[in-house]
Amino acid sequence: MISRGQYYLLTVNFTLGTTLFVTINALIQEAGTDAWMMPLWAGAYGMLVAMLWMALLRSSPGKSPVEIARVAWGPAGAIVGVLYLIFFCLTAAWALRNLSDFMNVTIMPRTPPTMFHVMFLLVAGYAVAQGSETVGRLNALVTPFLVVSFWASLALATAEWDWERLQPAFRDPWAIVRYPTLLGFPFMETFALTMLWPRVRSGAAGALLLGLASAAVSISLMAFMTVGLLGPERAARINYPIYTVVQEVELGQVLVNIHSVLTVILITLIFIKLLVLLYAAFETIGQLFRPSSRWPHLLALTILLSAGALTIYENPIQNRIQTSAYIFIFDSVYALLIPVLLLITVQVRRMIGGRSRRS
Amino acid sequence: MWLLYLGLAPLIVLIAAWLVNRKMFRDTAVFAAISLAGFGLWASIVHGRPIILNTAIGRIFSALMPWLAG
Repeated sequence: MISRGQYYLLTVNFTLGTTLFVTINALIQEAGTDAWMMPLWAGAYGMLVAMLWMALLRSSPGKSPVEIARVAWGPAGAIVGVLYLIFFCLTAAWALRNLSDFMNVTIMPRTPPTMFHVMFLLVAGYAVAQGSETVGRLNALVTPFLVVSFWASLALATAEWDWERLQPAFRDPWAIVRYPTLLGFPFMETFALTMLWPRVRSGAAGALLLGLASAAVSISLMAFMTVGLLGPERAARINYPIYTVVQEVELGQVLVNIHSVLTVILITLIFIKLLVLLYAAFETIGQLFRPSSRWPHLLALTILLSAGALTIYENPIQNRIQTSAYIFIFDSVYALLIPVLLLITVQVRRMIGGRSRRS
Repeated sequence: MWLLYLGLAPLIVLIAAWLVNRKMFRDTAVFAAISLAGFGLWASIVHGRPIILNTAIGRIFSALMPWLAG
């Protein structure tokens, strides 16, 4: 079992995960100086969707969505379970590939991406095999170091701050309508956290909502700072604007390479996202097939995800084009459509059961 | 390519054989299904024709859209 605080931190770090790498420049490209408003709208939407998940999970206490699907839909529920397994695996492959792209572009250009994928998967697999407590505690342990060093690095960069770069303000507050991708990635992907829901002692609902709100505010603040430090035109053209912001920090002859600190923070955040997704995939296998062994399935997931990470997309540009077109619909199927249908089924069955008991 | 057929394939076969030997047939089936899916993806990479997953997802949704729209 994990505590409410650990679940909250997992929600925040999972949502921030790859978002800080791949989304900030896209947001600025779309909304310019008003990019900071988009995560706030997306976060509000994410919280609304999370309330739907809460209604579903509260309708069958102690069960994950995969177990609810099996109970509600029988053999068809098992197919839904397999679909969720595919969803978690695809999202994990995406996170892994984002990580290796970042490492190859920034500090380790000659290391084969598979090395990053396999190393991360082996460590994450070991942590997942230890159970939800290890996942929760590991994340709680690293979060203070991440938060302090991340905001300290950015605070050092504020020497280049210029309010003029944020002008004109409030010209495009509804840019989120043109870029619904942000609603899917990262906010609907947090559906993976519902697999941990039955393992939270109490107060999971508040932790999930507060986690989503905190992550939305953090992403908004990051977009705001990036525009204030780099300007909208430059930030929109750079692949990893946050990295560039910190890379340009120079304090005399002493602090000149603090971007390596940021690299560690970003890969740790991605590792946490991978950890949750691997846990969700592993739990799904456990709940669907009730296997009696653990490590062979984690090894099988390592083989699958290490290949999936290489083939999930061709290159970051192709990925951006494809995700802009489909990610919202793709995530909506898993995080909106199936939970709504499940909730309706559970309520209808309850009504029918109540009537038959009365008669 | 040799790593795929001399490294990965024997690893999958050995673990599957170990699971069968322990009479964990359900585990064998689950392990084989997941690892063979991974092996297939690896084989597509090694043979120079990778199955690009996000393109495949895009194609599925493109095919479904007119059908869903009625």
